[in-house]
Amino acid sequence: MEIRSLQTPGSLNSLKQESVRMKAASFQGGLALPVPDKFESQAITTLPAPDRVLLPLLHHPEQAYELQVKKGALIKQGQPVGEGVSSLVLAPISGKVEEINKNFKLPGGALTTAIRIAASDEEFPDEAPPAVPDSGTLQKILGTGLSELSESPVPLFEKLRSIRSKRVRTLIINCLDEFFIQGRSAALASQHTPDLLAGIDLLVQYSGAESAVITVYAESAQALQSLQESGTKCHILPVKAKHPQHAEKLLVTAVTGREYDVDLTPEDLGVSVISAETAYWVSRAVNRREAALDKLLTVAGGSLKEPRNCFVRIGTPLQEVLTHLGQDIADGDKVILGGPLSGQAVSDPDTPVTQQTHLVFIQKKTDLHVFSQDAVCFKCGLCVQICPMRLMPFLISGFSEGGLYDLAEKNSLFTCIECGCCAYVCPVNIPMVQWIQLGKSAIRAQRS
Amino acid sequence: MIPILTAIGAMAFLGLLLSIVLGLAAKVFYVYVDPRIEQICDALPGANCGGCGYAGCSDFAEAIVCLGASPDGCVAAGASTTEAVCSIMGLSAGLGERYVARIFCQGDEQKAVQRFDYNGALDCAAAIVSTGGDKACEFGCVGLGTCVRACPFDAMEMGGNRLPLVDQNLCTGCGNCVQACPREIPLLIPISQKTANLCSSHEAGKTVKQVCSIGCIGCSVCKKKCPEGAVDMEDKLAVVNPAHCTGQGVCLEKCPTGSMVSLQSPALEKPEASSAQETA
Ligand code: SF4
Ligand code: SF4
Ligand code: SF4
Repeated sequence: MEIRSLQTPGSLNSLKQESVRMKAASFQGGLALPVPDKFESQAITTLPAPDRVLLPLLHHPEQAYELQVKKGALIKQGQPVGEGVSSLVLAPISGKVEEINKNFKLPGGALTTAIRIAASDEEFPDEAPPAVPDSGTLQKILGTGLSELSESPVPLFEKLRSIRSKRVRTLIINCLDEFFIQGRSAALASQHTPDLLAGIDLLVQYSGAESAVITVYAESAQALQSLQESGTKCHILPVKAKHPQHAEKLLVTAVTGREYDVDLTPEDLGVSVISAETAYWVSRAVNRREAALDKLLTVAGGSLKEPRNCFVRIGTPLQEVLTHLGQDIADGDKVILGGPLSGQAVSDPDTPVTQQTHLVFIQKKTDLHVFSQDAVCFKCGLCVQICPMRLMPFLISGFSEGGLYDLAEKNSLFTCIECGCCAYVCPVNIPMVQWIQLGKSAIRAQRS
Repeated sequence: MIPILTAIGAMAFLGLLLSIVLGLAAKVFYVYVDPRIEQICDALPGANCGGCGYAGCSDFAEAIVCLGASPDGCVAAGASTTEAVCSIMGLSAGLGERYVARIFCQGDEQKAVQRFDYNGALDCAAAIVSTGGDKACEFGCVGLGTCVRACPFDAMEMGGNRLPLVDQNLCTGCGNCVQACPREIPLLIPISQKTANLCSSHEAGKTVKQVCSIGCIGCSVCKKKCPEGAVDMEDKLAVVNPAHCTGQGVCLEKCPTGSMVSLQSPALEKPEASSAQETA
């Protein structure tokens, strides 16, 4: 991908709105996103439900799920198959539990239990619970099985509770996507505006916040326009299209204009970040009693000219999504969950879509970034300039590489959000993020 | 003339005074240093590899003399050094068995299933953290040579098939490679051990078959057939007990995958492949 050649900020002058003319909010450092001169977000499509789904039961690191079904059981779409303290895992399709794999490996390497469900035509027992309970808002939100994923995955229920208890005044609705300004949240804002806004209202109401700020890339003209024309009371804040603007820390910095201590959470500043997709699903759950069985994701790269946004049933194998969109994976191409700079490459095409799959990016063999295996840092300082967390990437990665983990930690190793900007700009292609990951995991292993 | 004489006189007096002070100090603050420490230090290789478990050669020499450490603790030295150390200490050299590193994985590029093309940091631990390693086996060698770079004696090299090779003559058994490896692939075993199961996988046989054609599938036929009872099964992996193995090779014939290997042929750890690669 020739990202460097696309760095000129695109179509600002084509926008007429007042608010866009003011300087878009942002943060220090970071990498300009590719902004095509002219683009239209493609309509969000809904992919058909697959015959088989694979459902890993670990969406929240701290919450273990209790399995609610046995092998061979018949289950109905929307029925809980796993139950945590404050969240549920719902069956995405009706069918039969084909297999329960206790050692399923997630793309990040963690092990979890996964349930394979095959669609079947058999009769279902009537007593299966309905999709979303009828009682109060809170119950409905709990019944959606939703988790809030703007940073680390927390059950939405928990998130709302902490927002309440910390008396958060402003909700920041994150309409920004990893790496593509034509991404899923922008499409949601321009094509499902009423649902999105209704969801935001519900969230504000339930969380006890006073107001909401919707952050949109200043370059996403369509999304901005739809939001402004809707006459919503929420404040709409255009932000600069930069990577990693979608990250919670930097989004809060852009909105509040304040760089804050790494130990503080956004809630300590009186704000809290919630993703646009969450708001959308909340509105559907509360107003239409529909559970979040689909996942809105962006597929980009490969042979696609423009990123495509689609609703995909949770548990669908990636291969099926790509086939449906007419994408071929050639030998040597890389499939990345979460964008070219900070994503996780997957080798198994049957990896299922989960609530954490936001972006599937296919990097052609010819576009691969080749890391150097013996390069030595010559202290050019580019990585220091670009690091949005104001770290010294060459230093922490160098310390980790040399096994000097305590020194790396003293230089704020754990502040790094693994955005990948440093490794991208490094002229000698040092795999910095990988060294940083090694340092973090080595220190965690020492501690545990 | 007078000032010169005064100066000379003063210097002579000062010299005399200081030499008396130094002479007294040497008597009063005398510390006995065993001359053997220095002798042993000279006899040791001076590589400061740390294989003996001490901070360096001189630390080890002091430990032998003062703390009664075993004189054959130096892993880097040959038998002659140990003998020299023993004679300095006035001990008879009861030589211990020499341990060397062996690579307990045979899953090379052809035999182990590869999941993807790895492109990243040249470090086995880093590869495991970020990607799990490109070879499908979760117990096997990652093949990025972290152990090779950790060897202070140049006894290791990376074979062309992405498995490390150990030169048994140069290996001193210092254990640096064992420490460096994130997967426990190099292990120290007695040089006289005749047979070994060169696989580290504790997976069930079915999984092993899916990821590697030469791995131990845990069928335990070796355990059943060994006339000396030298094979134990440890969590689905056959382990040869060197104390009992006599090298008859029954297990070698019975092993269905070739995971069990005779260590008696000198060609094993330094096969032609490596020299061919050097010339190529
Ligand atoms: S050090 Fe971390 S936060 Fe800074 S640029 Fe590199 S990956 Fe991003
Ligand atoms: S960009 Fe690369 S070469 Fe430059 S200072 Fe950072 S690590 Fe070193
Ligand atoms: S033996 Fe261990 S350190 Fe050496 S190449 Fe294999 S995995 Fe890496």
